[in-house]
Amino acid sequence: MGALRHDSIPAEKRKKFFVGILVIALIGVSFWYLSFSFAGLFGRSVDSVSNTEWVSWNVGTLYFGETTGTYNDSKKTTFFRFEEQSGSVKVIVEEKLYMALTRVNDNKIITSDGMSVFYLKGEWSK
Amino acid sequence: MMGFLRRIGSAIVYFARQCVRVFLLPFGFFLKGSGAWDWANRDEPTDPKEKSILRRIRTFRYLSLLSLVSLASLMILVFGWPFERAGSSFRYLWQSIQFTFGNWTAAEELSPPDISNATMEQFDGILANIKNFWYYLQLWIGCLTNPDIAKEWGHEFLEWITNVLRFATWIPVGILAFYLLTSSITAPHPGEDISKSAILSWWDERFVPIIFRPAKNFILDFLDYFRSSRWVKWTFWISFGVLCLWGWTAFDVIASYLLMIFTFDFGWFPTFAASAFVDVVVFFVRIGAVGTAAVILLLLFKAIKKAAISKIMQMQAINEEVAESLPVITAINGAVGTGKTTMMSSIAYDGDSLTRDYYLSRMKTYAAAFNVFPWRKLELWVIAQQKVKDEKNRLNTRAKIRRVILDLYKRWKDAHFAYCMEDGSEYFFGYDPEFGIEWDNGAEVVSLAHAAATYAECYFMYHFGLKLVTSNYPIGFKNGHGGDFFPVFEPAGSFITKPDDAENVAYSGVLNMDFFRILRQMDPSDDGRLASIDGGFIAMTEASNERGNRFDYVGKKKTDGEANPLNDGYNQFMRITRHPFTVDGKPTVKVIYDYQRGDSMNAEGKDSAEDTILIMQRGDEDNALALWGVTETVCLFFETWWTNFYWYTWRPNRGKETLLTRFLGRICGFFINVRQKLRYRYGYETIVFNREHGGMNGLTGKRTMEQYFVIYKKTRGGLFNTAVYGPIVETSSLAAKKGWAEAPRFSSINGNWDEFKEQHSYFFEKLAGTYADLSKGKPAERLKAAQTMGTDTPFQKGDTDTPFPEGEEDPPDDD
Repeated sequence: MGALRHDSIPAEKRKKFFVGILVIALIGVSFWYLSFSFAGLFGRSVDSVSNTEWVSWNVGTLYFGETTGTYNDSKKTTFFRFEEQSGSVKVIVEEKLYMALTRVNDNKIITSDGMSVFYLKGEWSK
Repeated sequence: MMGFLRRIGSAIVYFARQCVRVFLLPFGFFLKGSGAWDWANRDEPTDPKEKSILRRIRTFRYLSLLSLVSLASLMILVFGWPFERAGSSFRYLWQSIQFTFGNWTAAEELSPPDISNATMEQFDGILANIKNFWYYLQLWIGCLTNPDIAKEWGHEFLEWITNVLRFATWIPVGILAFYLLTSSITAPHPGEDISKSAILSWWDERFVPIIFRPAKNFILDFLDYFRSSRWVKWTFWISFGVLCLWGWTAFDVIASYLLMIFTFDFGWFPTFAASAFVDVVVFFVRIGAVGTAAVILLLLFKAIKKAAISKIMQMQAINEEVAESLPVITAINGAVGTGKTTMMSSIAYDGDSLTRDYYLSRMKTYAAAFNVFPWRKLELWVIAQQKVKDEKNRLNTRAKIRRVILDLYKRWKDAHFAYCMEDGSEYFFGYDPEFGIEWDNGAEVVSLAHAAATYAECYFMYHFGLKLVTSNYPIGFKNGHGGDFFPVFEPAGSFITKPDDAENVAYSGVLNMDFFRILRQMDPSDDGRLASIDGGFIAMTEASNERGNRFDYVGKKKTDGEANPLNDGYNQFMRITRHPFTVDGKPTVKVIYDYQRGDSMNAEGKDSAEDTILIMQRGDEDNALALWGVTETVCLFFETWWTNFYWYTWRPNRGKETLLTRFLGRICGFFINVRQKLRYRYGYETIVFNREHGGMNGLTGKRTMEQYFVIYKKTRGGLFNTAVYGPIVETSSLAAKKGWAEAPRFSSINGNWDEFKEQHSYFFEKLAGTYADLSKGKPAERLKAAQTMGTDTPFQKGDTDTPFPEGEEDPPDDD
């Protein structure tokens, strides 16, 4: 003999549950994204960019040598010299500040306006 | 041999104890403080019970120490040794002291102190000033809108989803396995005995009493000790502060505050703010993602709880406004189940505090106006009057107290405001009239006599703590009071945050209806009625049962010797209720009564109500907790599953109780319990009511739609009993010979005369009278004959004229 009766959760409560879950998921995902974008700004462990190559999704490629480097975008190649200080990298072209970069993670570097990100080649190539 | 071994054993135990003591010696200060330094005390108790208690306490002390050491080790593991961080804080403090003295003495030019957070070397230089801090903030905002970061995060998100789905594939298998398991164990077992299963018997009779319960009690007792011990608590917080970064942040805050108040220099602030910010970030980095999630969830739960409490408090504030805004007499009516008595009881509960607050406000006013008057002496005098043994001289009503104070003042005035009488005793509480005997309140000059009499009246009503509510049904109050010299009462809304306490409950006064019957009383010899009410809220439920309407008055006359609603003067008194209860210009009484239908109450009674509240709608149950829908449904999931499994499947099919059902019941019981507690702690309903003010003689008054909140913590927490009149029927039930189980039942859907008679109905009683003749004489004979009328075959013996020809079937139905 199976169950003689069957109780179920009222439809109104189920609706509230799903709305609540949706709200929690939205808050959770937003928080995740906020912390994801925030977390990279701290906790750097490597300061030097010498002898590394960095690529971006759509801006170009940066190659740092010992004190000089190249920047290849879709149109041209720019030669520069660079200075490093406390996680910041100043890219100087013809003695003018061409680009200011900040180390974010071990494998990430970002322009000072936060708009362009370069990933360490090999670490992020998807 | 055995004796030798025992001695060896004792020696080993003694040696082990000494070792433990030596090991614990460095913690001597802690142990001494916590009362554990008693091994030097040779006066050990001899009573085995005391010995056992002492042993338990000692164990708790050692366990506390062990727990604290473990917690400290864990913190060192997570946050590292605090020396560098502490060093930077002390350096900062030293710099601050130097800077302060430098500023004072102007001996030398010093730069503002600069906190250097040694635990965060990587941030040195970056967060050295507020400019960089803002730079990073800007950078972060840039990252938030950066498409590359979004893509990277999207990739991580998808990876997470993939992992979740990978595990989710096992969910159907799990559900199926669980279904098969429960189906197999709930298959019918006809004739199964109802004893416990063997393993459950072992569980209940061996495991639980011998291991589980003692262990649980021990842990609970230990936690209780850990929480309540002052030394343990202090040691815990100090070690937490020393080992956690935030302890040093707090230290820096104190140093900064001292710096600020002594120098008014803010040059140090940017570096301090950046350093404090770093401490926060590093804390979360160190505790990791799981720790951060746990802390955030904990804070979230606290925030949700706090918001819910705040919401309930707002509802309570609205309820108090409703209670405050009521006129002297208010009628509440509405359909059955709309919450009339609930609303009235809730209003009365708040009314107690509101009335008491009014008395207190009067006392505050006059204490401020005559601030040199010895009010404490007056209060003690009021208290003393309640203890007078001779009933005739006991000042046990507001009116008596006022009269005597005015008399005392008059005597003092007649004595030209002398300080003391001829016998040396003080006049008028030893007050010096030089300090003033009048106070101009802006509208009139108030004499000290009025102020003192009003103060005494108010104190009389205020200080007892007796609830200022009188009702014709019991109302329970949980708000107590504190204060050694002057009682301070908890506000009406204190129940919201107060722990549940079923013991400290006070109840409303019993309403003596004869109090209102100024012309003719039911019991004129009852002197108690004269002062059974001295102010406050009066709540009367089912007032129409008491006062009735004109149909109820049939047969009653104004000239009747006994009291009845026509001659008792009740309605007349209602119209002047405000007069005897006015204290310092404001009525301190509010009468509220409820009835279901307007027509069930007499017109005069209805007209006496200045406001009529008609409950239009009572909302569904709601909850002040955010995301309650999620919490409730999760709990309901377990609750419904358990109901379906245990009540509708297991119980009908199985006789045994097993360990599995016990475990499942405990797990589901936890969720059932959580839901129930949260419902009653944060649940509420919204009542929408129409308030009509001032309507009479068929004219509509001013109408407003308002809200009232039925807060479960109050209304379901012993406020009143919805079945208050139950004991009346219960008494008959107790005296009954036959019970419900033996009561007659119908035998078919066609009732018979005996069953109808069992109803003792007016209708059937009338019919019984009408048809009584049928039971005697010729009708009775015919009735008897009717039982044997007709034949038991279709044809009479010898009939040849059959209704239908032979060989044919039964005739078809007419339709």
